Amino acid sequence: MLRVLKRLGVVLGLLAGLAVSLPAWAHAFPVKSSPQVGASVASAPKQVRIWFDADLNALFSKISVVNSAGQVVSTGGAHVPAGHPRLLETAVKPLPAGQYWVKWSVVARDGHHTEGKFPFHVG
Amino acid sequence: MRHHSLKQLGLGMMAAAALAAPAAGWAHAVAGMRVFPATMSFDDPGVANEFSTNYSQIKADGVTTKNLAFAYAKTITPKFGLSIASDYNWITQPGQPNQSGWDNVTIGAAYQLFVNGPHEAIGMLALSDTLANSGSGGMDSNFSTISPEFAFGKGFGDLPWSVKYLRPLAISGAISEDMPSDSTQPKMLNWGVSLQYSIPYLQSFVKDVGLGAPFNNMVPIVEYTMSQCVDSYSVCASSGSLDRTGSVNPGVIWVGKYYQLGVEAQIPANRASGNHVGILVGIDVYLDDVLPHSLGAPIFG
Repeated sequence: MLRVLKRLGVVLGLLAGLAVSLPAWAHAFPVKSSPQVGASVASAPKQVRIWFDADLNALFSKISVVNSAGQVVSTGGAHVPAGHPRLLETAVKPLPAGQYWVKWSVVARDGHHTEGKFPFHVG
Repeated sequence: MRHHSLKQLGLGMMAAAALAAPAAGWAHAVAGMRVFPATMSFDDPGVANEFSTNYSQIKADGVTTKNLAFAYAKTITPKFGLSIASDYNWITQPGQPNQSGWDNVTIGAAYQLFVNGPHEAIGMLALSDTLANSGSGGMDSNFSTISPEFAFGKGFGDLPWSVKYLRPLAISGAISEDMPSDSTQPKMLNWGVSLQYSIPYLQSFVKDVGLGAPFNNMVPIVEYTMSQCVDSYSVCASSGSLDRTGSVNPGVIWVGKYYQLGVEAQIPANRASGNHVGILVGIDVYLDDVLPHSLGAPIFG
């Protein structure tokens, strides 16, 4: 029993040591967005933003906004602003009243991929 | 002595392999927008790098059993992984001396059969071997047990938007059969299923209802597990395994970025399963995320 406990202790110690000595990034999941997920907004936003809980690889991170007919209404592609590695944003055309979907796909700095979509309503 | 040496060798090889691992990325059980937390009473459907420990306490007919379980899983390729697990038991009963010790060590291999992102579906095949005489004398068994298993998960994220508040729901399950090397021991069919409602999924993909920490990371869950002898009547009868036994475990799992915490009640599913409510608590460390460039990465690919 003692030998097994010792071995487990060694493994745990190893894990703890590596956890302290190496940087950790992990999967990137959304923390908040503007507009908020599922929100109804009176005035159309000029851009859509999502804040994540991990640094993003800008090269492989995408975001687009589509209307209820599936037409893309975002312009200019995805943008991770300098100095804000956890923010993904895109500009959108002037939006008439209706339902819109934000689709995103990001790769965190460590290579982990996550994706998602959420709606918001204008008007 | 030979088993101890083998275990030591195995641990050493796994540690060395992990340290030599190149940087690459895979996930724990993620299918599209869905993250399946590690269920506490049966295997989750993801091949992953993780370390978990669970503590459970149950009481039935005056006999109290406490169990502390440890498991470590390591990916070899993005879809294939190995694992090692054991657990320590304390058994107390009136008028009898207390017993305690390690169960047999279980080694396993798992393969990620499929991951369907758009439909939030994931499936895994696994095969484990509980090694004979690998625990504490008197508490372990002198036969090995081979257990093939299938585990799955399915999120409800493809439901129509008209029922959007059902989209955070998901089910997961696992079914396995224990096949002992000793023919006098019974073959057991084990299965578990969970129904879970993901608050993170609700707030990230359906509707931000404004829940803050710690509620925004919680997944209320009910797990249901059963075990039943499937051998001949005489073998089942001699082992006392004629009745189905299991539990209904309502609880909540808090899913963090690097680890999860869970607590569940263990309610006996029927009279044969006991007559007291037990408790199950656990922690699962996502090594994929804690150490994405070393221990948390597959060795190949």
